[in-house]
Amino acid sequence: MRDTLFLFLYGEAPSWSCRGASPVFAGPLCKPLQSLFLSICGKRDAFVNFRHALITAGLLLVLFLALYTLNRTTGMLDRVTTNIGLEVTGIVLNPVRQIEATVADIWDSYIDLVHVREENVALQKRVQVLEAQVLAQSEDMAELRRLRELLKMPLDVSWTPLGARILAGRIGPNSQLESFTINRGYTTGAAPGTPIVTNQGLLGKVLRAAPHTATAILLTHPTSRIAIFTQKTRTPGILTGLGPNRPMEVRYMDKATKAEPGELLVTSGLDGKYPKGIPVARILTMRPSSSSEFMTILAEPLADMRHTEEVLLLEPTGIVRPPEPASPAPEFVGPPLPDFLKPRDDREDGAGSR
Amino acid sequence: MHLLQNIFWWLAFLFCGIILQLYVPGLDALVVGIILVSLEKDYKTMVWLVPAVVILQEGMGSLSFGFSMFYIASFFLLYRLSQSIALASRLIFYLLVSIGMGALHSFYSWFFATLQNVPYDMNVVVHDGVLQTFYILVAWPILGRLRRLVAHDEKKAES
Repeated sequence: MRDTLFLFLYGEAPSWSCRGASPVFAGPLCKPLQSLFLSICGKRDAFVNFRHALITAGLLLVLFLALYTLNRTTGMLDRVTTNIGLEVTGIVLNPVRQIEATVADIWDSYIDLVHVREENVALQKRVQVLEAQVLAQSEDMAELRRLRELLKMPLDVSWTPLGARILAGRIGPNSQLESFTINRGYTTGAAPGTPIVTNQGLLGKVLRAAPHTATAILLTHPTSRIAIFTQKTRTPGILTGLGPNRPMEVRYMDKATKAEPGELLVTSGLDGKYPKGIPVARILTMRPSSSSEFMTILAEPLADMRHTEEVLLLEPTGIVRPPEPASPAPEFVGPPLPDFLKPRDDREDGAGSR
Repeated sequence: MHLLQNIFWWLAFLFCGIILQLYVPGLDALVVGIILVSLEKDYKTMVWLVPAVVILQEGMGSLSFGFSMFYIASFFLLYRLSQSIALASRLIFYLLVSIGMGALHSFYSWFFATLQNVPYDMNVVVHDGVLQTFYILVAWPILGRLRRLVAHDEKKAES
């Protein structure tokens, strides 16, 4: 076996000879190899170990390629590791986070009493302001309900919001930059593909899910494709990520758009993946493309991707959104139809009037 | 009883490793366990610990399956090579394995991100590798001593 491998590697048979513990090899290629190993440790065992390691590495490589190919075609190993590994991680991390929150609560409640009085006064003032705002908002909401009723604008019942907590950011060596772990899984409303939002706007979507834990990716991930339109001018486009710490790009937006830098981009819902009307990003720069019929637009995401702790999952309810109110058919504008194409009544009326 | 003590030690190690990974992104805190069982030649523990580590790391990560399995397989290769090269000196063996595992961490992070067309930041990749090296350098002797306490208790009980 040893000689066969040597023959395979060097094209000639070795002449093994043990003088003490040193090997002597035949052939020109063996001289540097011999001197290398003799200089490192001076023992033949080292070469034998190296050869065994080489064979082991080869076998492991073949095994790995087989498993990797199997996983790429069936996704079986990903499913197994997600269902077990991610679930166990969630089981470990959930109590840790709860203990962390409990300790923080105890600290806030019992120990950190130094500024409580001042804080209380400030909070009471803040409550008064907020109450006034709530009153004003409630008036606005009532008006909005009335106007919606008046316009018969259907409310979107296709999505249900579910609260979730971020357990961890990038965790483990096998994680990419733009991922985080949440405390909901596919049995609790976080199936793969579920959109994730914050109070600021769209944050990302669920990538992989275990029964009670899920891994999500941020919307800046290069595989993100979100159907959007500009909030004021309603020009459609596709928002795509360019990677971590980089702005996002809007593709396929018509050159005729009247959008301006600073304008918000909201989801259009046309892709069926995200509900309509969620703010996503703000336009940073825009200029006509020199190579296509579209604008070149860069935008920054609205959601804070570094300091978010709680998120909302938008779970599809399965209820189909009611269609928009039917509008009357557009009036035909163009040259008059020839007589033989007109309806019979019209022709008779025309003849009668003559 | 001692078997239970051993299992409990490893479960506590896995638990603490996951929590450490929560606070140190990108670190593989569990690979030191594989190093320790390899040194102890505790093949019974290795049989379940290696799959457990692979499943945990692959499950909590967001890349497709492959990184951890390859990383641990490479460790065994590196372990044998280091044993061959550093026959006389335990210190050289210790340094070779630590630095090698750190370098492999960086290499595989880059390799699998490129293979799966996932964006990566080279600074982060190198930082994670350096961090992994220092982690192994520090955690290996500490956990080794803790393991020896358990092993010592076992031997004492057996005698």
